[in-house]
Amino acid sequence: MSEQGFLSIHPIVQLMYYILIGVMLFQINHPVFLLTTFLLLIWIVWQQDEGKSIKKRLSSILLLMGVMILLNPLFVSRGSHILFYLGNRQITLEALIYGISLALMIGGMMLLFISFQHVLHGQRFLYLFANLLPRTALLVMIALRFVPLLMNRLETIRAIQHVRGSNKSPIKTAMLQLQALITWSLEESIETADSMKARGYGNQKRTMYTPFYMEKRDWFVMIILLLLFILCFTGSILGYGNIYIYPRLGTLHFYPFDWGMYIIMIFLYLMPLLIERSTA
Amino acid sequence: MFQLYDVSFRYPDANKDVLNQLHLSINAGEFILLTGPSGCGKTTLLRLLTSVLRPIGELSGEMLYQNKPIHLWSDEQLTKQIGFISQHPEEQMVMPTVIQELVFGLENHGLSTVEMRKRVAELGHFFKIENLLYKKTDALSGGEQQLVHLLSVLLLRPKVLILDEPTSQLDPVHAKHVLQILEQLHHDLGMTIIIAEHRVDHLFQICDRVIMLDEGTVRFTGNSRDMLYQLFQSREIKYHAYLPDLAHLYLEKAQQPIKDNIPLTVNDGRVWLKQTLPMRDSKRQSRNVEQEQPIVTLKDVTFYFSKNAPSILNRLSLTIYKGDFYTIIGGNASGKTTLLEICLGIKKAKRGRVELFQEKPHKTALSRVGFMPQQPQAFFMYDTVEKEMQAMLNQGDDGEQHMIKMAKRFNVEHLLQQHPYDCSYGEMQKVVLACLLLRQPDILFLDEPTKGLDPFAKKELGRYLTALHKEGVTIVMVSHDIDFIANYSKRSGLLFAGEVTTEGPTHTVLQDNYFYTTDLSRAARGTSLSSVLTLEEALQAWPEK
Repeated sequence: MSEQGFLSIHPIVQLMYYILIGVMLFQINHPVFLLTTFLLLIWIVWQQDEGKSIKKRLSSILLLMGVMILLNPLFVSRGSHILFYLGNRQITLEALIYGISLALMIGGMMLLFISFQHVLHGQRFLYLFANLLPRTALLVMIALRFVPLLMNRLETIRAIQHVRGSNKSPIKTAMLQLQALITWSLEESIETADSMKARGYGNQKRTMYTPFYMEKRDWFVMIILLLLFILCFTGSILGYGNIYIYPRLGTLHFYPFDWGMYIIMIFLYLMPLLIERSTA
Repeated sequence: MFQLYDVSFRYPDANKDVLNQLHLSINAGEFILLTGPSGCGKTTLLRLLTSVLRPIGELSGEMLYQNKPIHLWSDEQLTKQIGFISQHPEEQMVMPTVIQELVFGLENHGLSTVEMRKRVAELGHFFKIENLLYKKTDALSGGEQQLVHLLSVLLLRPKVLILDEPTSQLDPVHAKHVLQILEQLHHDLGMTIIIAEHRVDHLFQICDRVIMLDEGTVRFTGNSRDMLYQLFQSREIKYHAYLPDLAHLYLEKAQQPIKDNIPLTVNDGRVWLKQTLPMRDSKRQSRNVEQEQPIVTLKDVTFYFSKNAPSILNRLSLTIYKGDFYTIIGGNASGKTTLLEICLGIKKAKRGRVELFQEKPHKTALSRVGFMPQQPQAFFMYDTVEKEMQAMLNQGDDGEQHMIKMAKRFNVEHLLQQHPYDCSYGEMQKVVLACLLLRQPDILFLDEPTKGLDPFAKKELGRYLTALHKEGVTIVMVSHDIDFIANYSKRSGLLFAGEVTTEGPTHTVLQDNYFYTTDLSRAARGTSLSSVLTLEEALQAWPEK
């Protein structure tokens, strides 16, 4: 495969990265931490396809985040630092900060999914899936093959019938075309079934050809990922990277352990880019 | 390898045996060509040999595979040892990507990933398909698909390869490629190969033995030259359609034809013709078609699928006149079919002017047009041939009679109550032609009409087309069947790089070519027959002493 860097890592390690990052996003609520992760994720997604999907989607993500930041203080009036009154509702600093944290978390999640789609698509995804549900995976693959085939056939039929002309109503004609498509496809699928049978389908338990195998590098990356994650996770359980928001906002100030965890977390997030650099 | 004693087979509800007391023995390492007209039982025989794909019906007699009755073998062993390839490249594909398709059989047999990886690497390297591995299977050309399927079967390391018209849906270049691979497998690995095919010229050169079936029995058998000699000697003229032109010419005109000297290759033919004919260039005749009333006019037509992709058609201009029999010749993916679709208004030209009967290709113009597609299946909408034909009738009084007359003319009246899909490929084509002619079109468009036809059906189609042309129907055909074009088409244009590069009377267009010409013309180059393209012309122009 021509794909390099993070794309060439074993899918299980890739999946692990996304799960661990996802967990970490939920574990942290410190706005500075979350802002950092958000920016890091933008950078990662930007690197993956040279900014194509960021340019397309970032504005809508930011819009959604903006709405969340605005709405949370409007609906939640808990907290003790009152900024001002809007009508008779109190707008609190706590609710604003909470809104920002939440928005950054959701925004980060969305970026994570964009990146996930880019990395674990098609065959990789099926491979992950196939180990869990081999039969379903085979069915999905065969179905994937048939979608374009059916579309092509329908196009052929429509083109031919367009020239052939019809004295029936458009709806009736469309029905007939669909019927012709189904008849034709069923007829041809006998051929497909034969070709499966002639290659021994259904005789015994199938194995899966795995186009991916764990290299030393994959194990290495996996261990580093786990290590960084355990450090971060323990830290977050002990309360680092988190602040008290309700009922009264704690300090945003970084303690030495916060700094440690902040740096470890940045490394955890940056794994894809680090791998990219080391293989380039 | 295989021994068949007294094998008969009858489909349920049939009143006749498809195979009739067949005796056959096939040795390990043989390259066997199985041929015969459509419906002669070739496919049935091949499917019986695979055993896994045996059709439902009544089987009698004894079939041995490696000296053991074939039904005692397990399906697992048989599918490992006997590979089967059918004629439809597209329908045989199961998986979305090439690599998944290749390993499909290996996965079914439960091989380990390490073993699969090894086999794929070896074969992929040998056949140089690394660049295809991660492509989508539906993005491949028919030739590539057939190659991928062949490899997928070969990965199982079969002892026998059974192929049912593997090249009938391919263009000549890809067809030759597939046959060359088979030849290589036979030479290098001693694989037993049993192939059924209509396009026999090239196969006669490479096979060890030919078996010709007709009506369920073996008509002729022997090596290629034996077989050709017997075919020629046989009184039934219909078998002559199977003779390659060069061999036919030799058998007709050589003073004392000797069996072992029958020319199989162009080179054999050239040697023989050089010995027998005086060496001189004959005058070239050129015939002109009257060019009066244009029916199809294309002016500076450009077409592309997307701005970034290369143009399929590039400032193409083409005029087809009333009474033409015009062929657009071109390789695969040269845009032949796109060109037809633009003429018919199915696709819109991005730039340029397209006129049909001096107007835009809309409904009124299209009502005077008949279009026979490459896949006749896509033409059919109803469940009997009769309904299919009725749908083509306009509200008229003597419609029914008209229909029967048309069915008789194309010899399909016995099919009227059948489902169109139950007809053979050649029959489907005739039904489509009959349907189209009920509308009395002024112009007929044919997309690759000779694909998948046996030599008889091809001749028959040629006769029908000639008759229609004589009646004044203008015919436009897209094809790469050079022999067919040389025999029937009046004018031709060579489509290359999105343009019609050479255009003129078929004879002139094909005459001087190196590749796009008939074997006969290639062999006769430099002799007094050098201006000859077809057997008929050669027989006429033969210098009598």
